[in-house]
Amino acid sequence: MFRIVKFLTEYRNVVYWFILQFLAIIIIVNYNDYQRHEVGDNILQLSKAMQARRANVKNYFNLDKENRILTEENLSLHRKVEHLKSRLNYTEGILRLDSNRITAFDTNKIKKQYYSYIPCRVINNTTERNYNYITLDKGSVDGVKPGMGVISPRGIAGKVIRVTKDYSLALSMLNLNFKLSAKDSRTGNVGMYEWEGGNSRFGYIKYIPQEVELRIGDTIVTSGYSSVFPEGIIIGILSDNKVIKAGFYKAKIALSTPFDAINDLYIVEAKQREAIDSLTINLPE
Amino acid sequence: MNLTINRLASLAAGGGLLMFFQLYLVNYLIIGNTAIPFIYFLFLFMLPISVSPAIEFTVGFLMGLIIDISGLTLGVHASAITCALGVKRLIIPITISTGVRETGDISLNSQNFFWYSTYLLILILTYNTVYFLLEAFSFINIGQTILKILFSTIYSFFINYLICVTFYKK
Repeated sequence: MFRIVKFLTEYRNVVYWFILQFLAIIIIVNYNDYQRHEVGDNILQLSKAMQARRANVKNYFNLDKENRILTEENLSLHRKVEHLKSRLNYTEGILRLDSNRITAFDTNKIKKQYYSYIPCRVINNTTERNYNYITLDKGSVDGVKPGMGVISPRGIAGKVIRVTKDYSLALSMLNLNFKLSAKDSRTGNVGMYEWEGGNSRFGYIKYIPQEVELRIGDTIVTSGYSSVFPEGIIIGILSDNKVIKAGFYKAKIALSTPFDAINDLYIVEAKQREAIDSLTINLPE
Repeated sequence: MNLTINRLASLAAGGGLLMFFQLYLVNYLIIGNTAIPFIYFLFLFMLPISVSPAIEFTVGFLMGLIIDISGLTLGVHASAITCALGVKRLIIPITISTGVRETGDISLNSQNFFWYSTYLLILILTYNTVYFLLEAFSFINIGQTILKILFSTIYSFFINYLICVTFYKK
């Protein structure tokens, strides 16, 4: 006993060092172990106070870039309005020509509105790690639920994985655990989007058969299979299609979302998601 | 004694500033997602050897934890800084000259360029190695992790040295 006390007194700094190291490892394993969304709600809330202040500084630096993105989004919305206006005129013209069809018009066939959007701001966003996350300023009070998609004005950004009352944490597209069903908008072939770490501007689309002719410059969009994101939201532009692995492409995509300058995002609420997902529960093997 | 207190106070004030920069501004200095500069630990590396190791470890651990909370990397910075401070306590008795042992000061003012550079480089390398290995927590992308360690070490060393020359050298 005396020897133990003597040892502890003599090497107290070393012992203390080991205790601190042990404490750090316990914290890492409990709160990180790859899936950092395991972070407890309290720590998450505490972290917000610091991150919100940092976000203010960051917003100031990014104003210029943000303005450009907003202008682009405005322009694309204008184009869509014009396009819809022309389609409306065309449809009205047809209906006037054939008035019998109006009575036969079945309201049930009008396409249901599957998605609505919750605008939000980025409080914290990392790009330099292997497992990156985006913290958003909207939470369960605003109707955010885990599993909802997150998009930027330019394309896909991530997926909500954890929600507190006022905040939510989203798995960024720049996370080794993020996977998404994607398709080549030109050929319609479906593959899987994945990120492999490193550069925040590039990701990969995998599992498209090598028989398909992928061209550099093809637009890669969401397939709509997941019921999280609407179909046709841009993921990125194909920038390299040379690598072929076991008969499948592993093609490089230049991501359309500028992750180093995202401030305003939208959380996608898929209104019919629960109904669609419930169809696949308890399927016979 | 007064001199030591003054020195400690100025070091602590510098430490506070370095923490502020690490928390709010260093994000803008990251190069290509590979070279990430860490500066907040310079204060701890410059603490005189007369400061008790236990105090030094505690302060380092808490500073690391604050950086961790702000960046959702709980425990990773805390572990890395504790490791680096452990290495500091290991190498100082082996390498430091007798002249310095009397003053206890670890800075460019009391040390020669070569000793101080090596000292800083070893500690920063230790810090980055532990940090990036724990951050990756796997050997799948080990090549990339090694690149991050190397580039971040060189980059951090450069910035820390610049801070030493600009603010701490008389």
